[in-house]
Amino acid sequence: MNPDGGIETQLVDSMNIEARVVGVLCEILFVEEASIDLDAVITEDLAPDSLDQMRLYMALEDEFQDTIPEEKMEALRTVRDIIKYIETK
Amino acid sequence: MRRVVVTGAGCLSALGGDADEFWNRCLQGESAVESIPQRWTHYSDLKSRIWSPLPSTDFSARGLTRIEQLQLDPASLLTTCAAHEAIEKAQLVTEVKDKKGNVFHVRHIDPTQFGVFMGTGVGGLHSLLDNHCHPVLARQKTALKELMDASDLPESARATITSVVDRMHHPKRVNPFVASMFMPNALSAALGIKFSLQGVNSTCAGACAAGTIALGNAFRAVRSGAATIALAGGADYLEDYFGYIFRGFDVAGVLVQDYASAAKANRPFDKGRAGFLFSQGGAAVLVLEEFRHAVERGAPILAEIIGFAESFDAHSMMSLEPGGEQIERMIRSALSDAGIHAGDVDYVNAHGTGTQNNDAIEAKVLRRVFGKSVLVNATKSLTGHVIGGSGALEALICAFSLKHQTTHACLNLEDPVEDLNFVQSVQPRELSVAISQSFAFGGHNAGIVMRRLAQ
Repeated sequence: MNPDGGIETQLVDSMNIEARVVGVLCEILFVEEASIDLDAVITEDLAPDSLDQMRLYMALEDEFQDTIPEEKMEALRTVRDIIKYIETK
Repeated sequence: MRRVVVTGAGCLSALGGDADEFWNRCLQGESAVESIPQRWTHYSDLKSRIWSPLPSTDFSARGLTRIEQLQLDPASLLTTCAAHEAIEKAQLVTEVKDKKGNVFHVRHIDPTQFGVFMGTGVGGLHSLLDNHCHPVLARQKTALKELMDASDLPESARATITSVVDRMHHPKRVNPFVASMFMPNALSAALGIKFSLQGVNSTCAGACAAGTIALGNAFRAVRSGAATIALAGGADYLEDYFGYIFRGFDVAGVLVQDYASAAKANRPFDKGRAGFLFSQGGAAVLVLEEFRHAVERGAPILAEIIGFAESFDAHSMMSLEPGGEQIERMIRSALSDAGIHAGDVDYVNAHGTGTQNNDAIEAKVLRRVFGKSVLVNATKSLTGHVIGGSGALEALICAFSLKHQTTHACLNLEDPVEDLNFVQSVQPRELSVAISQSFAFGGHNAGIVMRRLAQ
């Protein structure tokens, strides 16, 4: 029990964000959840097709109702990068 | 000559999410009329204040993925739903071809012989306008916010700027797929991709006659052998955040202006008519199929299409040629194409918009060509004007009327502009031949002739 929310809430939010990011990856790239390595490089391992990359970022923006600037997208190399970026927004 | 039949129909309109609901609500004389969105009046001084909105549609429940919903204009989404229904009603069997793309193929049909013919007035204009707001407003909005943060403005100026900023609505970014969303041919392309159809694929931009012209082009393709089967119809989505598409018609003075009694304001062919009822949009798609092909696969047949014709006024971008001579020539050409005479026609689904000139001219032409015994109704008295979608919705009504041997009444028609046999009540009819006709801004006239096919 944590009356402040605090660390426990942050942990749940963090797990939620990871699960939601992985969920979007599975939905858009049509891959199994178990096959997603958080350190996989998006443009090399998961979505080498540029249209798929656009769809992926569009779906992530839709999922989290926020904008990912284009220059930021290029810096988000791995799944973990995406999760961290959304966590810190 | 190859015969062409209608074996399926689907639609999504202000009067329901499928063809049967649409048909039944038309027979019930229902109409969906509401006040326009309040925010539109912040941006424009509008003369018309009512429209016919679409029901809320859950595209996910209709099998469309998040990505499809994000990268297709609403007109294409409506079209896809209508086409899916038409394919099912035609008892064509689809199976998943590509799960990732949510793409199907139609079993037992040569995809190269399966055509797509869609009509639209404005294509993906909704997406163009929506995305256009980003470059126009985003940086200016930021600049105004910075001005407020940096300057010591009086409270009244701050309130004014805040009010302006609040109304500078724009998407968070430009959709990376916007170019493929606003192109008019996205409607037919979306269907070709969705159902893996590789035959003739075309979109006709014929404004208010687009759906009828598209159906006519499909009819000709199937009759000539250029296609064995086709999805054909029309669609438009006419809503945008600022109400600009509405304003375009409003400023032209063609929209219904007597909004004191909203339910009675839309009254095609009535002497008290005051313009057309603007619709949020809609789509209708029919399956047109070569007769023997349909019979061999045991398809249900709604009606046979037996003729089509077009003409052009060469008169004005926005008004019909006063004598209606090219409309009359179009109708007589369509009858000739069908190999029938005017006296063979039992029912005309009129263009019937509710504008002063249109209805007066159309009524006179109908009287000249058909006399006063032919049954006449105006589906727009119920649906309002769906622009590129109207012709297809009305063709669907014609096919259903022939199938069910009845048709809907003209809503709010109390004092007819001409002595014609307007449908005043729903009752059993003997309907063998029907015509659906449409006229468009620009001067396009088109009519499609259908015949009942005894089962």
